Amino acid sequence: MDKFLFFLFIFLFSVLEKTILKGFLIFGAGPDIVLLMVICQGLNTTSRQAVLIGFVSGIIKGLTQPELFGIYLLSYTFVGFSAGIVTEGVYRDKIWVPLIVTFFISAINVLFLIWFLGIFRYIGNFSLYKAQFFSVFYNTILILPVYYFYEGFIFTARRPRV
Amino acid sequence: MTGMNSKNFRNLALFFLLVLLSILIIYFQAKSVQEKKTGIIENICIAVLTPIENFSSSVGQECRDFFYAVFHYRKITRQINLMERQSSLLEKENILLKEAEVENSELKEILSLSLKLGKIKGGMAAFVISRDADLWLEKVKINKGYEEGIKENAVVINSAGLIGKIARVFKHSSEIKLLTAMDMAVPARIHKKNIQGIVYGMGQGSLVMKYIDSGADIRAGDIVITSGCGEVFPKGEKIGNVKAILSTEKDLFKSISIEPFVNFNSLNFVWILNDAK
Repeated sequence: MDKFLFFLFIFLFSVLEKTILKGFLIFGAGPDIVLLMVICQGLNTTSRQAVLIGFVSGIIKGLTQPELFGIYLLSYTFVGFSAGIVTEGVYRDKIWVPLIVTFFISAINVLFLIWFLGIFRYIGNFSLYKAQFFSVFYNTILILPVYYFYEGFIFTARRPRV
Repeated sequence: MTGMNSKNFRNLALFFLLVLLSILIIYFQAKSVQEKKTGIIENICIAVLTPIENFSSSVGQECRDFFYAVFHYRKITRQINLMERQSSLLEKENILLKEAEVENSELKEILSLSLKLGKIKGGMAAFVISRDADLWLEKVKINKGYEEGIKENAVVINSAGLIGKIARVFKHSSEIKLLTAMDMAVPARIHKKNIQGIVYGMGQGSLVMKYIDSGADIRAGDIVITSGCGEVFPKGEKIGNVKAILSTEKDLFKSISIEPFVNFNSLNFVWILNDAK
C-alpha cells in the first residue's frame, strides 16, 4: 500500500512539475520533486529496492513526458541506485545526510542529463546548462520539506500501528 | 562475507540490467524520432494525460495569478487606477462616437430625402435646437428663420413622414407645430382607398382620424397619408398606421387611432418644404 501511495505521489508530482511548478522557476530552473522522492525512498530502503523504485519512478515520469521516456528511466535508476548504495552503512537519520546526498546526486544527474541531452539536441545551449545547475541548489533546498513530507505521509504508512 | 558479496553482486547486476534496458529504450526511441514515428504508448500517454495536465495547468495558472497579485499588489493597484482612468476616457469617447453614429445615420436620411426631393423648390434641412419639456409633443424650435428663407405654414417632414408645420418664424429660428399638438388638424385619407377624414393631434404620442364615413372599410395596419385638401399640406405625405377603430357602428362617423411613423421623441434633423402645395 505504501508503494502504491509512493507511486501515486510520483505520478502527481510528475504532472505538477509540468504544470503548476513551471510558474515557480528561479533563473529558469525548476525543482525535480520526483528525483527528491526517489532519494527519500532510497534513503529509507535497501539498495535493491531503491534501484527498482528509481526505475519504476522513471517509467511513471517518462509517461508524463514521453519524448524523454528512456532518459528518465536511466536517470532515475541511477538516482535510486546511488541513494541506496551510497548511504548504506551511514546513519541516515542525521539531517545533513539527505542534504549532502541530494546535492551530489542532483549534480551528477544534471551532468549526466546535460551530456545525454547534448548528444541528442541541446548541445551548446548555455542557458539550459545554467538552469540545470541552478536546479541542483533548488533541489538541495527543497529536499528538507520533501523529506518531511515523505516521512509524514508515506514512510509512516508501513510502520506498524501501536 | 560471501553472502554479502553475492548480495552486492546481485544488486549491481540488477542495476546494470536496468541501465541496459534503459539504454535500449533510448536507442529505439531515438530511432523512432529519426523516422518521425509516434509510438502507440506515446499516443496513449498523451491522450490520457492531456485532460489531467489541462486541469493542473489551469490550477497552476490560478496559483501563479494569486502569488503575482500578492507580491505585486502596488503595481496592480497602480495599473487598476490607470485602467480605470483609461476606461473612463474610453467610455466618454464611446458615447461621443455613438452620438456621431446616430448623427451620421440621420444625416444620411436627410441626404437621401434631399435627393428624393431635389426637384421641389424651396426645400431645406434644419436642426432641432430646442424643445420645451412642458410642450414636448406640441412644438420644437429649429435653427433656420426668415433670413434663411423659412416661411410660415411651411410643411415639415423627415424620411419617416410628416412632422408638422412652421407655426412661427423668427430671424434665425422657427417654431414647428408638431402633428401631435392638440390643435393640429391635417386632412388625410387611407392609402389606396378613397376614404377621407381629418387627423387630429391628441397632445400625446398618438393621433386620431375623425369624420370618416361610417361604412368605410378600414383595418388595423392601413396606411394614412395626407389627402392634399386644404391650403397647407401637400398630397401623399405619410402620417402613420391605423392602430384601432375607436367608434361603434351606431356613431354617425367613424374614428380611428393612428400610430405615427415619425418618432416625435427623437427629432434632430428635419426637412422644410416652403412651397409644398
